[in-house]
Amino acid sequence: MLEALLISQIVLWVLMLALAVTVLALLRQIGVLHERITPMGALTLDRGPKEGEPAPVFDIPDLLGRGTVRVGGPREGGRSLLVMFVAPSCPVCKKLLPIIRSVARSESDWLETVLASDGDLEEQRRFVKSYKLDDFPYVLSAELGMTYRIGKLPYGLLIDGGGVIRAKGLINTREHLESLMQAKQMGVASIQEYLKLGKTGANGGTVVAAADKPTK
Amino acid sequence: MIDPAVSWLAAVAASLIFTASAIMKLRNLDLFESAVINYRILPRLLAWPFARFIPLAELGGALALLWPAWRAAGAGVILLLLLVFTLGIAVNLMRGRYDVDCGCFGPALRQTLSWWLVMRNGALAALAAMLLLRPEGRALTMLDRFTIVCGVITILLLYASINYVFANLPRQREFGARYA
Repeated sequence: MLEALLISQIVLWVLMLALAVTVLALLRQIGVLHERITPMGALTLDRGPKEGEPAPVFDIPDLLGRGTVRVGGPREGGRSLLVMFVAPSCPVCKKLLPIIRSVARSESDWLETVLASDGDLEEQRRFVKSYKLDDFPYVLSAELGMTYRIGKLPYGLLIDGGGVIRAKGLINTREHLESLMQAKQMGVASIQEYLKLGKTGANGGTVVAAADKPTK
Repeated sequence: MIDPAVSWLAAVAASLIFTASAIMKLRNLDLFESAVINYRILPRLLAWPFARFIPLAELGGALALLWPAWRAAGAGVILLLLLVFTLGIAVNLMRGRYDVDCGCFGPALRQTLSWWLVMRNGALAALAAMLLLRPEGRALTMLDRFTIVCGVITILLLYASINYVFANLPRQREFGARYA
């Protein structure tokens, strides 16, 4: 009898372990599935002024007192403007800063980069100083953030030389930032619009296949 | 008084969970420090030492659990840490800040704050509280060792599973909102 109990105990533990492994594998697969179906590019939250519309014009004084920065409206030289919304309190922004810097440098022939934020003046000054952001124009404006309904940070906004919004979205990685540039070059407003085009296009490929394309 | 097999089971499981948590914090100290600042409870100056002290205390407590003589002390450290974490989370949830990164496990498992984290910490605290009790003097048999090994693996697998479920939740909601 005791031997039977012992055997049964061991068998139960083995089955229990197998079950736990299966559950974990299953949940991991769900996580991976979510990653696959999430758009790979910058996520546009469908609010605020839309892509293709002229950007509202703002003249905002620079934080370090280097004149005013104009966001929106036609620009001399026809260069585009990338407005990155960041904040000292956002950890992902800090990770993204070097990436913004490198993209701004490599695309400087057609792109100007402005950092935008909002909040306590002293905290912002410290942020600019500790992350050496003084080579970018840096503007503080609650109105700007409110106009574009910025909820989550870091958020990117791309305005072309003619003052028209070309692309915008939540930016978490270099891929997201590059997808904004790509969206402009391809003439699509956002990854969501690209997906929509893919779905209704002649080939009518699946959503997953379309989502893979822009990253290659 | 607690059965030594149960005590060992809880001790090894808790020790592994907190060691993993401490190592992931130590490997991404900058990110953890940002998370601490973002809780907006400590003054900025204290965030630097705090972000370094917490993972070390976590590691110390976790290792102490593995020596029966130090077990109760380790459990005390872990309980205190859990109290601090849970207070930080609860304060921010009551401020209505749900979008804060919890900083629990480094970037590998990014989770935002939610009441489930408070429940999870409650369960971990229950586990740690058992370890405050002295194990009753019964020699461990072979079967006990088998139970401990299988039990620890099962607890870790389930712990990871539950974390996955809740890490997936916001994405699930986002997905529902996007394609609704």
